[in-house]
Amino acid sequence: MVKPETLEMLRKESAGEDLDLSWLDSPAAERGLRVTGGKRGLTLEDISVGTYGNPPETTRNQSGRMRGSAPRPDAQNLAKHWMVKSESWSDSAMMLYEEALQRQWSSATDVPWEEMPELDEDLELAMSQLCTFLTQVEFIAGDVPGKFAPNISADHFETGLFLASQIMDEARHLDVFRKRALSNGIGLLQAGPGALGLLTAESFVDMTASLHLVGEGFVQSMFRMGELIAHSEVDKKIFRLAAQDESRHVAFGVMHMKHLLDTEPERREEVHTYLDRMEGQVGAGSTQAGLTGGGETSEALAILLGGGKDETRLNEGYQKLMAVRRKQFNEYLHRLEVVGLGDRRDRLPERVKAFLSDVA
Amino acid sequence: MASNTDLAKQYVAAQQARNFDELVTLLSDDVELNMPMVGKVEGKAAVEERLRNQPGGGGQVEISWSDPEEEGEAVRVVGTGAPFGPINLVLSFNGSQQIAKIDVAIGRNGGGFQPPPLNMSWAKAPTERPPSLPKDLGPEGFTLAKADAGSYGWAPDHWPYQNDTPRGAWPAPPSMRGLAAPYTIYEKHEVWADNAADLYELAIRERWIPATEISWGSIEPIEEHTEAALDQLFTNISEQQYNSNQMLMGWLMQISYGFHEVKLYLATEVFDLARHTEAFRKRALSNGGGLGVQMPGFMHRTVYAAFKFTELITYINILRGSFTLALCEWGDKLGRSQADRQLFDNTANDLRRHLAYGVDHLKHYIRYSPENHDRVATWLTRGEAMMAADLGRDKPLREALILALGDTVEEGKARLKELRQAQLQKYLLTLEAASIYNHAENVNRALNNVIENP
Repeated sequence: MVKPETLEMLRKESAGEDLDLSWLDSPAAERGLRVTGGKRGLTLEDISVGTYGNPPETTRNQSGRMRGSAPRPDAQNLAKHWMVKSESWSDSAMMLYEEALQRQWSSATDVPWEEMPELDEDLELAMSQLCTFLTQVEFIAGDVPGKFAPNISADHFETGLFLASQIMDEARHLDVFRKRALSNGIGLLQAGPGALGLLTAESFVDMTASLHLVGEGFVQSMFRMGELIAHSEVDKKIFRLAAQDESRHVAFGVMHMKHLLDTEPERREEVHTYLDRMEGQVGAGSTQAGLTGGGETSEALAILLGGGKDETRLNEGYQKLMAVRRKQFNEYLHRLEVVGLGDRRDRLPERVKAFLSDVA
Repeated sequence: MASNTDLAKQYVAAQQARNFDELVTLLSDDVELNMPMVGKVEGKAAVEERLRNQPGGGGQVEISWSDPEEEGEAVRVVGTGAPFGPINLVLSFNGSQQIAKIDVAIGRNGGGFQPPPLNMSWAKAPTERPPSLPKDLGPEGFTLAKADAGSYGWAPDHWPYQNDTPRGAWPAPPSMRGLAAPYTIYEKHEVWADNAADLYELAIRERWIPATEISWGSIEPIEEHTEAALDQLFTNISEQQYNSNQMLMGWLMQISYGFHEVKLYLATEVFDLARHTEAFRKRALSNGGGLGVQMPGFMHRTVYAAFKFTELITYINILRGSFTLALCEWGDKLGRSQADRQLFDNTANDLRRHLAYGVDHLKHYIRYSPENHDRVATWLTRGEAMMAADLGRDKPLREALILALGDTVEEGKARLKELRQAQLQKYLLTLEAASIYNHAENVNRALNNVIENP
């Protein structure tokens, strides 16, 4: 609070007669903060203190008032924001947002394009097909979180910030895989069914289940096998950079789901239904085909993994592709265990169980 | 009499055509279906129900079936094109030439995985072959402008695909495109700006990190009322940028995939706005103060209520953007530390890109149709009125600016008037760049009033 004598002095100044200064006289927001940063700079976690930290479990803030600032009675009511923290909150949002800022990269300059080797034509065709698939689906993972951003309360704004970082990452992914397909003489090839099904998510929880736990998780597992898929340092670098971005997205979703199930355990069955849908158990088709590669992409992956299209290499490629698929499903199961849905192992369709059975 | 091979062909054809009436006629009453996903299904009625409820479209892949091969009394058909490798279909028959058993399994032999025959039809997609990479990419590297050579760089006036087909790729056959997208923007003039691709790359080059690239340690204690005044200003900037950020994110799913440069550029703007939200919040909490009073929110509401994308851009990039940019360009007068000046400078730099996109987009939009000029004029009038309502009612902001800009109240008031004039001037010049000339004569009276009498 500003000293009364200072306010008095200001009011008595020439031209100061119309000053109200009540916002200084008795501020409704907490004051006196002198936050300093640590070795990671001044982070969101550092400033999450006092009334500025501690996001409320429920809120009636529908005006866009930032958490901790003083309300005004005549503020416009937008009536669009979720009132319950668990709807969108993830304990990792602050940390992941800051990490996203630190780990931004440029597809134009951080990939060693000038070192691109001339690949065997079949490998280049396969890589271009894989990149066609990836550039097709990657920004759907930007459109989907965008769909829900207007509903996130300013009391839980850290989630909104994280989603902005995810959208930026997905833009870079659309961009880098497009550039890759266009960089070595082949260009874009056959588009597939895509991933628009993800945009059918009608709630934030539906989104984190379908996009983060399943979709992004499966793509992340694939990117992490990039060392096997890639045939040049250029491609390896792209997969490494993209994988680290996807890890943040998956971590956000895992922590959101964990928070939801910790605070609202009665929503377990609801979450299971979203996973049922993604696993193709509710008669609408598994969108997994669109997320990790349909037929064209599988064949392209097999050629890349095996190193060619002759029978021996293709056989080897398909064996490795099956290992990629196993890794995808096993890592999926691990995520489910982390969020508290370990019992889902028993509910998986036989088709999926087949991928888990021979993995230690 | 049809052979078992003929019956198998008939079965596969009917299945592909989803002709279940025909399919059912091929089955025996006690037919048994074994599928890895659903287990065993027995009896014609149950199998029929299962077959009729197989998923179709919406993310399904197209499976190519091999010619049937007889294996004793059974016939084997291998399907390829599924995401998990080949599908092994084995049909067994009874003495009445009816299918008595259907075994479906992953793997060509049904006992596990075996590679499918090579197909590579995707490699024959008749798309354009781009030129090789230039030998010297230059300091800006492999930019979108360089990558999108030939027809890849050409965005059509109307984007024809209602799915996520990348521009330049060979589209999937209509039956394979799945759900029609929720996009509402398929016309180029509704979103386009010629500079979008370049601004996207520029935004990435000019990225900054509030946590570590602002000299937070340079902030020193200042007079309490001055700090409170600055904090009020920071509160307003943080709040309005979050509002712009939220709605811009919300509009991404309206824009079809054919205009990827715009989607990419907007992603950078979204990220910039997130950075502004947190950077100014951090500053408000770092020097003995805290956040101030929230804004009245007339512009927030207007941004949320935008019916059209260009309307949204008129509000957040053109109107709010030019006023905020002019404010940030006064960072030397407002800031009390190196950190303050860095914040204002970096934000101003971001806002110049936002303005550049807005200007180029408005120009493109207006050039498309004379009617669009009138639409923009309507949005400007509405936005100006709402901004005037915010400025006119935001007493804490007005007083904060007076205290922050002058050593005395009198000086502060004079400076505030200068600032408002600078903001209006920036706005008018922005409109002129966007081919909206002489707007000074048409500025909403309420806005003129708060500019003249701040």
